[in-house]
Amino acid sequence: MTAAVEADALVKTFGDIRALDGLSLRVEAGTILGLLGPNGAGKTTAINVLTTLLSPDAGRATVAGHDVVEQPALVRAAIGVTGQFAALDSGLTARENLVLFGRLMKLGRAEARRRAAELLERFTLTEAADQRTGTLSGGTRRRLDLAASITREPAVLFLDEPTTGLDPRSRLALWEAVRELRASGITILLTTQYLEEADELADRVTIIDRGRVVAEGTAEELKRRVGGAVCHIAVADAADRQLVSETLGTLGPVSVLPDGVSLPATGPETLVAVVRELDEARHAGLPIARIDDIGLRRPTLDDVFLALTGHPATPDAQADGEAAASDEAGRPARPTAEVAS
Amino acid sequence: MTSTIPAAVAGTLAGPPPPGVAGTRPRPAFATDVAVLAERHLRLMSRRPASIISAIVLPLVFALLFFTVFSRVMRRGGLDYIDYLLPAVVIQAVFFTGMSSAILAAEDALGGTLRRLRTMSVSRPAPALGLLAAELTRSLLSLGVLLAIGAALGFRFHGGPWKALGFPVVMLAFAAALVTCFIALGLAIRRLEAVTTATNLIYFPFMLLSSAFTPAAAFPSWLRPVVEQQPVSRVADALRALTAHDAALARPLLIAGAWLLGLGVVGVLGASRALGRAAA
Repeated sequence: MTAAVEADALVKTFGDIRALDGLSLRVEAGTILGLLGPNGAGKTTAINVLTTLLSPDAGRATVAGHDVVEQPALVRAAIGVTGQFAALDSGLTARENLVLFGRLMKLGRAEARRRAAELLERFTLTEAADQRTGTLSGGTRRRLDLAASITREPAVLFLDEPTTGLDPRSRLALWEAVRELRASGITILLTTQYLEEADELADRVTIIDRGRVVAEGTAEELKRRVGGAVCHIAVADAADRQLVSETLGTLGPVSVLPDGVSLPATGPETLVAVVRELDEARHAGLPIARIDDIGLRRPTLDDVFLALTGHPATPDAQADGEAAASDEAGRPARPTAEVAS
Repeated sequence: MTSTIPAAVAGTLAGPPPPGVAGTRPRPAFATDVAVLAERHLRLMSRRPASIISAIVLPLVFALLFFTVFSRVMRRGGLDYIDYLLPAVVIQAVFFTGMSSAILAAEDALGGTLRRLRTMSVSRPAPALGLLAAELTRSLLSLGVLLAIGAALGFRFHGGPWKALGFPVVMLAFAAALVTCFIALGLAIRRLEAVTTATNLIYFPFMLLSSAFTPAAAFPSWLRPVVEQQPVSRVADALRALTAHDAALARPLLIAGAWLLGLGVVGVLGASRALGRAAA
């Protein structure tokens, strides 16, 4: 296969911070690569280098066959970029925004209008077409932003955290739109903090942390690397999670996740051992943790991230009481007790 | 792994060629980019009450207020105040235009528009030049409004049609220099309140400590040299020379021209620097 995006040992430093520390990645033409990592891992810096906004201090990268440093104009002509913040004019209507992008991409007036109408139809934006963009919901704006970035069908599309802050329904609609773009042959590099998102959309996943790649593969391969099943104890309260992890410390390496505690499972016997251990602690008169659920499940990318980097993918979600807030921010709830068969 | 893909192969990277417009790739086209972005700003301004007020209503209100307050006093001193006042309110309207450009530039930097444009096949200086073109158009609108009210209050070009034509040219040159500087300011500061404060800190002293609204003789003698020499006064001198019947023209035009050239150079250097940073 040919690589539509290829980065080789990219380095970018800001003062003392090595935002990219020898990052290499490859996106095959016509596929979606999920670039995954916590805040500050270097995802946005990587996108900025690949979209010619920043020059790397070292290393090289090609996008659609063009060197990002030596042929930035050719790269720009071949890419579309949708950022974390929809760069649309809130004072213009959805249609006017699309016509504007069409004109900036050198379509004639009539052609830009025709293309705008086509995109409004394709992205189910016809109802919003003649409303000021500022009055549209966050999800609709992101879809419009996505439509704008493919006004002139790009070879490679960069989506920088396209669903951050969206509610679950808008997120699903955006996922659907992204899948359709892939189906039309566009190569997509998607960054996200949400592991489910990469799981849903990406053909391959590259996990980065502190500017380096820590793992690469399909979501399935990465999950297999963590091993078999995981016993997950869902605990809402942070102090309780600590309590549970201490209680279960004798059973194996316990990981504290944002939504609970998990440890490697060999089979149903692990479940029995966990319940017994918790019950014994209760009988011994130790402080009791409030547990919402206990179950066996196949590892998620969260587990992969934790296993590979030693810290959870969303460090800020570790703080107490953040679980509810992050649900509001639109992270779809994950089944906590999906028992592996 | 890192070998460059030949251009011929690169064309096929997107898979099957998508239908319609996809075949060719866009290229920057300087004039189109500037025109499209200027149109964007004009459309946004026309929908923004604050822009309409500062382009049309405020200059009118100030012209009427100053005329009402000062014209009788000035006439007693032997000055036909509307002829004196009009260049001043035109300069003031240019300042309002400049303040608008600083805010719009900062908004484009903050909202991600500049970054987005930088990832597209849009020529580099086009965002700043599009805004400049839109603001110059806006300042012509302010000028039209002020000339109309001025005519109603008795303002006349006493120097004939050629000098009258020079009037908007000098105003546009002043507007171009000032707006370029203010765009640089907006792009460099990128915080809306701070931009407003900075532009006010330039506007008030330069406008009020000038011979725009009152002759330099009205200021204390120690301040008079500054008042007479500063650029706003020099531009006012040039504009007045173009409205008068028999004033010497070359000297005020040259001095104003030198100031504007200097201001323009500072603005262009500052704006291109700030534009590069704001988009990174």
